Amino acid sequence: MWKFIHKLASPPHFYDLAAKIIPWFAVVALALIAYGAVAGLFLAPADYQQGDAFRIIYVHVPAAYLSMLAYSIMAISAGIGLIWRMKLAHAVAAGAAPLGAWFTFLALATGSIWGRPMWGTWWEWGDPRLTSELIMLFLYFGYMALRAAIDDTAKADRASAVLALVGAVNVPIIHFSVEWWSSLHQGPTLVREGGPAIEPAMLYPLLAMIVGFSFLFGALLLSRVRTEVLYRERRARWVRNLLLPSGESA
Amino acid sequence: MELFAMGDYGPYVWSCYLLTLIVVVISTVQGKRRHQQISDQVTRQLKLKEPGE
Repeated sequence: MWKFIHKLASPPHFYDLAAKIIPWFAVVALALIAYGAVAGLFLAPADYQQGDAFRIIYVHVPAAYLSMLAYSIMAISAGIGLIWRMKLAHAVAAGAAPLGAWFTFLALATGSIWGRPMWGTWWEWGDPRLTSELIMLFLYFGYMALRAAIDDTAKADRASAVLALVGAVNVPIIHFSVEWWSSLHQGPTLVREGGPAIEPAMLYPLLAMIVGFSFLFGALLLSRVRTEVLYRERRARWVRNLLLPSGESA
Repeated sequence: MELFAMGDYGPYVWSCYLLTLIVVVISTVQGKRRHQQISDQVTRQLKLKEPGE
């Protein structure tokens, strides 16, 4: 097992394996998202309270879920990189950040558009769910700005890892915010006591979207980590052999 | 046509789906472009270090 992990984490092996996995992830993602979008938009019945506006859930929830998943992956990888000095872990953390920022932006934007007809407002300052999600966007920005400000990759890895770990306290706050404080935001739909509070015709497209977007995120993350690995290994023999095939002269 | 109207919520629903599509496309293109940039940059540096015969 340990040997397997060691081989997996070897940069050239990861670089090749990721390239093979990415298209499969993309195909699964496209199939699930296509089904989820069509079923969510046209087949699922309208909500008895929210009418057709509830269909925003099929993009909002996956985006919000990925925003937190990306942060968790970033913080855990950064921690592993910090403790065990594993270079691939730092590359994963660095690759997850911009994707997390994009999906956090998407969760905030779709939430805002959903809030306008349902709550009568685009944004409510002081609302715990909205504010903690916005703080996460700033944490991603801070993480990326810090990395960009430090030229030495190893130093950037360590400094940004500390920031990612400190900011990780915000993830459970986002998740439990609607239970701990009163919020405009509705309570959990899926992960709650007594099972999901949603009927099957509405539930299956949502699950398909969440799993589909997770595969999409997986493909995008693997792709970004490959880029990180290529740059970090730029002085290694395997990169030289990869980019300058023998016989080719400048 | 009614199917696409989404009750009175058409603009809200469709703008969310459009925005999602835009974010997915941009984040994909951004990643690909960065990979190409890094790959070109590393290739240039390698060629500088060991110029052909």
